[in-house]
Amino acid sequence: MTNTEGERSEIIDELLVDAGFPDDGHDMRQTLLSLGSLASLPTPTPGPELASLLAGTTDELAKRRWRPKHRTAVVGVAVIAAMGLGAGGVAAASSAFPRDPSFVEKLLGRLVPHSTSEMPALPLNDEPKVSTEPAPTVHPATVPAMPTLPVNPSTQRRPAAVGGTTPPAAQPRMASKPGAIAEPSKPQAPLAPVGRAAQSALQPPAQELKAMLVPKPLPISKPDLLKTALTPVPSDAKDSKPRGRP
Amino acid sequence: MTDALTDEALEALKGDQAELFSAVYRTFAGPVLGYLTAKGVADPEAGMQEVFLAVLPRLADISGGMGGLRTFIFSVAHARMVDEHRKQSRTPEHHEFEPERDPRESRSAESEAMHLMAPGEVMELLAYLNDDQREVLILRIIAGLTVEQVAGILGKSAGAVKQLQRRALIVLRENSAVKEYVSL
Repeated sequence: MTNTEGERSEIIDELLVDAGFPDDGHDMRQTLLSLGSLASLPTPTPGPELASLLAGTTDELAKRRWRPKHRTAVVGVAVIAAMGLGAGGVAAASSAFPRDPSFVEKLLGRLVPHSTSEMPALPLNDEPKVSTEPAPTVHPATVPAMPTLPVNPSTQRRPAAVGGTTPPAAQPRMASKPGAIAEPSKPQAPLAPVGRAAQSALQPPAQELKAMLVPKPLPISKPDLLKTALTPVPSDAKDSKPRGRP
Repeated sequence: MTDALTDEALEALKGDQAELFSAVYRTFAGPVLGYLTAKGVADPEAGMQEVFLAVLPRLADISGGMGGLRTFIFSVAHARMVDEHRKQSRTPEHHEFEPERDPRESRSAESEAMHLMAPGEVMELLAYLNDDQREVLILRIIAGLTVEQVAGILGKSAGAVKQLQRRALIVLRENSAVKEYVSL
């Protein structure tokens, strides 16, 4: 009997005492010794993998067993490192942002004042732009002479009614004056805004053009006005514009 | 038969890895195989080899001498056994232990001299115990662990382990008496 089996016999004695079977006789002890004999089974021959391990070649085996076990951890560390690099790069790229808070004020300041204070002035500036093209031909001095022209209003009213579709080249030369053709009985009423618009368009053309070229923020409340100002005016619009705004 | 491995021998072998592995294997291969056999693992030899494949590369990290080494080895064996039982519960096809086909059924000369039971009879007696009682008794007697070491492996208190082993002995005594009465 080896020392291990002697230790097992001691364990069995201790176990019998703990369980309250110190004088239980021979049978229980024999039963437990029979159970302990399972630990003395002949040692089987180690398999090839275990044999190589017992021979001391553990390096490649340890690496092979290490890789799949730690693959998740390695991938996790790589992902976390990549995320950290990304976050650090973003923080480094935008480092000037918190140092200069006036950037936000500039950004907001360019939007807020123009949208509130310059809003009423923009329609006035836009209005001449629509009628700048016919302005040289329209003059207040010519308006009173229009009813004296020998032009039959009934014949000229028809192209004015379909002015949106008739090309301007097909009309007579005098028909380009919108006030005289559209409403000969009331010549002053439609010409007043046209004249004022023409003057305002002719007198400060450089300033207005400069003001338009400055990249100001667009008025948000009336985007259609700016759109009409930026789009080229068709030639027949000069006829319909005075009638639409009496 | 197993070779004795003491704390001093274990410390002296730490410089020679191949010799240390061989000594640990010779010392604990039999108990681990007996433990897995008593627990009804389908292929105890393959399970034993897996245990040592997991244990031997980590010998350098183990502290506590022979007691720590023994506890660690049987902790791994216990975990393997639990995995094996879970695998068996998932797969309906498994092989029960058949004593009549076991070549180890014949008694050794020492067993004959000590009037020990054959392994098949031991397994029949263990079948009367519940899982916890069987586990405590196997770890105490086959693995040679103390009450505290068994408690550490099973995650129970030492008092609970003592109570379990006491109830296990009561069950074994009752059933041993029944078997002897029937055999007479």
